[in-house]
Amino acid sequence: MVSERTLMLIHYLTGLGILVAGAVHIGTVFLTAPVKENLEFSGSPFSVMGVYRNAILAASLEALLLFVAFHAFNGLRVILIELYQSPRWERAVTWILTVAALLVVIYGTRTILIAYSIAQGVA
Amino acid sequence: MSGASEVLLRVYRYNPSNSGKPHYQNYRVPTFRGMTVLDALIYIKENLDPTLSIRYSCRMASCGSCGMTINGLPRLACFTQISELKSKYILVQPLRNLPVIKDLVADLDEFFNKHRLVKPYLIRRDVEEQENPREQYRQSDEELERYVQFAYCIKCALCYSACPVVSTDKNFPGPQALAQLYRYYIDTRDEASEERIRIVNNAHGIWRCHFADSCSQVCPKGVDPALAIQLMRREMMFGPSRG
Ligand code: SF4
Ligand code: FES
Repeated sequence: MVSERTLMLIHYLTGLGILVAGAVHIGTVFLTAPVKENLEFSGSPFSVMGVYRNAILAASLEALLLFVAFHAFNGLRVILIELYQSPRWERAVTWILTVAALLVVIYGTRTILIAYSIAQGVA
Repeated sequence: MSGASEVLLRVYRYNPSNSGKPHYQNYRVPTFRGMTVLDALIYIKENLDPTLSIRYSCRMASCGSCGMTINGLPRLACFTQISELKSKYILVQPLRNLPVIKDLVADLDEFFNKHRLVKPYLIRRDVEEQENPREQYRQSDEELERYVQFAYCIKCALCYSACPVVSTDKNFPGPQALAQLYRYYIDTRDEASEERIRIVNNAHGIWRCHFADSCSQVCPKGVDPALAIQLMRREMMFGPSRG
């Protein structure tokens, strides 16, 4: 069982991580070129696929996904266990949200990997 | 009271033993300079309605027994002058977040149980020596400074009544208990840091404080429980800073 202190430490760190990785994400999507070029599917290093072609930027997207998934689902857990208290409810909330977070991470990672592999061919 | 000779007190009435519904009763009370809300309630009890239940003892903000909700805020009735409320209409209700025994008397059992939970006393490893101390446990002025502010708590439960987390999470210890936890944790004579951390490091413990700061706003003794909670969380997050 992970202690509440550890969960909250990760919660605060992922909050900071979201700020950093989110800034990188917004920066690369909107600020590296004129918006039209940035939102182009492919064709330039600053297009959507151009960003995915860069392994470091693709990794920062994966990091953002992990940070958001933990921070959001842990935040939801905190809200739900404050809303109602019973050991059964708490166990159910923890398990359901853990599984939901894992599904989000798996689906998001799959999307990032697919985009990364397509980007190697097209951009 | 400036210019006014009378106030209207609208008082919460509830008597669970005769299964009556909670209701409000109005009383007109003549005022005098320096009159407190407690004076007004005592006036009602002595002259208008002896069935009204209130709890008080010291009448000087020391015993912590006259806490109630006055014009929407938790306050000590003996420490609240009619004139400072700047109104001829005063709404008096029992403390929130606690069950009501009768009228303005809140049941403080839950509050004291949570206080007890944090072991509000010095714990030494050598119990034998603590029972029969060979010398004084010396402390420097700086060491005393770290906790003395929190030792002024009179256990009036105003902070507990103002806490938004207590109102939704009944397992949350509340600002008073958490402040007392820090008060003993940071005391250099205490040797139970690990045990104290364990008591509040759980899903309904110290991490659930939203830092609304309402506890510190209403505390009549300047204890600042919100500060104690933040300092304790820092200790738990980054390790002991105590020398
Ligand atoms: S911390 Fe302040 S408000 Fe809370 S019980 Fe102690 S004296 Fe009362
Ligand atoms: S009567 Fe003691 S604090 Fe008010």
